[in-house]
Amino acid sequence: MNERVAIVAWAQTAYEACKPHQRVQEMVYEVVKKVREQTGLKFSEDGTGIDNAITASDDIWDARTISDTPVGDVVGAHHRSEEKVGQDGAQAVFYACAGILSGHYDVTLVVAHCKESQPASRNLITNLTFDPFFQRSLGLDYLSAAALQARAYMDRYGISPEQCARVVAKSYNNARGNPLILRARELSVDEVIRSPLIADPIRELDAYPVTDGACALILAREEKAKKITDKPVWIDGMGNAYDAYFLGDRDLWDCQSLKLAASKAYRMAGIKDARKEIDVAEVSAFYSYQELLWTEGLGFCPPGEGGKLLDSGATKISGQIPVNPSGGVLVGSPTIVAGMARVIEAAIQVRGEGGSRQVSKVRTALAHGTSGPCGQLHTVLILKG
Amino acid sequence: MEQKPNLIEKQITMSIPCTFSTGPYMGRFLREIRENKRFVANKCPQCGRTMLPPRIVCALCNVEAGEWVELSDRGTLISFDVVSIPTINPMTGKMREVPYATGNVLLDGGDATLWHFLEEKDPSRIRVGMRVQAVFREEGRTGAITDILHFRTIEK
Repeated sequence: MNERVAIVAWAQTAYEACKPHQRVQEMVYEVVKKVREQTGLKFSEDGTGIDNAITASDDIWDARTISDTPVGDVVGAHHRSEEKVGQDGAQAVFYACAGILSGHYDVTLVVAHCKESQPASRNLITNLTFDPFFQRSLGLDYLSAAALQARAYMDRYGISPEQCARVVAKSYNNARGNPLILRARELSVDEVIRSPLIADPIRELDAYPVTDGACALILAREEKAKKITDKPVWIDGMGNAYDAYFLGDRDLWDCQSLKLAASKAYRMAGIKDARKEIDVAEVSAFYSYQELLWTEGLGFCPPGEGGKLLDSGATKISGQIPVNPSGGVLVGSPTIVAGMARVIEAAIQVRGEGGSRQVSKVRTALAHGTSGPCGQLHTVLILKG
Repeated sequence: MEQKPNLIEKQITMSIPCTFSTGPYMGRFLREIRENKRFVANKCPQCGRTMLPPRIVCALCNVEAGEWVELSDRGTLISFDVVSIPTINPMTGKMREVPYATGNVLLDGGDATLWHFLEEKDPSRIRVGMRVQAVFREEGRTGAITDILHFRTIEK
């Protein structure tokens, strides 16, 4: 099929530490209602409405197998089609896009949800990712895994804790222009450095905070997209790749699968020089060092120079390659939701609706999501106005 | 099966403490049971069906269902089963006492069934179409489905 796919509408809940008054179905309904109101679309398989739904959620996080069941009614799945992606939401967008490009569907609703506040500790959930015999009983979880990667990366390239802290300060300050981030505030590098060590070298403020939230967007194939909105945001490139599962099989200071995912997305979108051609990037850094490492993997700078790129000011909102004008994941974006929220924030930038966090003259935006420990699966999407 | 003496197996029990929000719909359903020993459902404004448990939208019509109705604590048995092989109750870690019976009860006033224990455990004394009534825990209701003890037979 030669038609392109566009994002035609989106909505996000506020991202906050806990939403005790809502179950996941109420959280998801809040954003589904908004995108339906924005587009006027009903659920229908006769060519006039939304004919498919892709949901992103994780069974262990939700403590419910087939974790899409609570949201089925809300996404129009009753007697219609729906499929769950058990990965980060950017991958759900990728999958939904592929469904339309295949010619099988015309208009797809994509949602993602997670209540990180539900388990007593996130580490209890992420520990279960690891092999039950080789690592699990020793207590490895995503936080300690990230700490291992951070140490390997920082030592190899001389990245300092201050550089990582500057990522956090930039994120919180950028987020002051994002009304959905309830934690946004002025934050100094000094406050980050003085926050308690939780898993050396990661400090409390270097880690993304526990957050509840959901988001939704609607994808449509070109002919339909142009009828639904006069400001479609085209998905011009996408790519994903998995790294090895066992941390010991990887060079932890590297992000090989991100490079592969990015190169596929760039090739599809016709991008030859990412640093020059991408006007803004929303990347999923769950820990501060990851923003530096992912900018290397995306080709914004050579390997080992993520810290140098940050220090040059290039990744500020006013810089040459702004990274996370929304504040990104570090200010509060739950797992599973994070990558899809990045897609939405990138689309907001393409449409010029970013308000005080708007980057000037955006035509091409990059959105990135990741699943698994230390960035195992990476998904990269290129959006164009 | 052939014994393989060098096979290493691991017994693992997984448990993750969680706090589940009940939300405005399930929360109200459970609160009515706890405070008033009564059942409520919500109703779709478009097709009129009542939903049990109450939930935010009618799946058929994709509209919000904001109207609440009270259901009777009496109903008709639509289906039942009697379990004879014991299994572990995951809530207590102990084996369930068998036999025990459960059934789908169509509560008077509603369109959806509530599934719960039946007081009667002898299958020869249970039939589809039987009239039953909820028996609530008198003391110590917490807003849980187990605030209902079981359904007793009121008419065979």
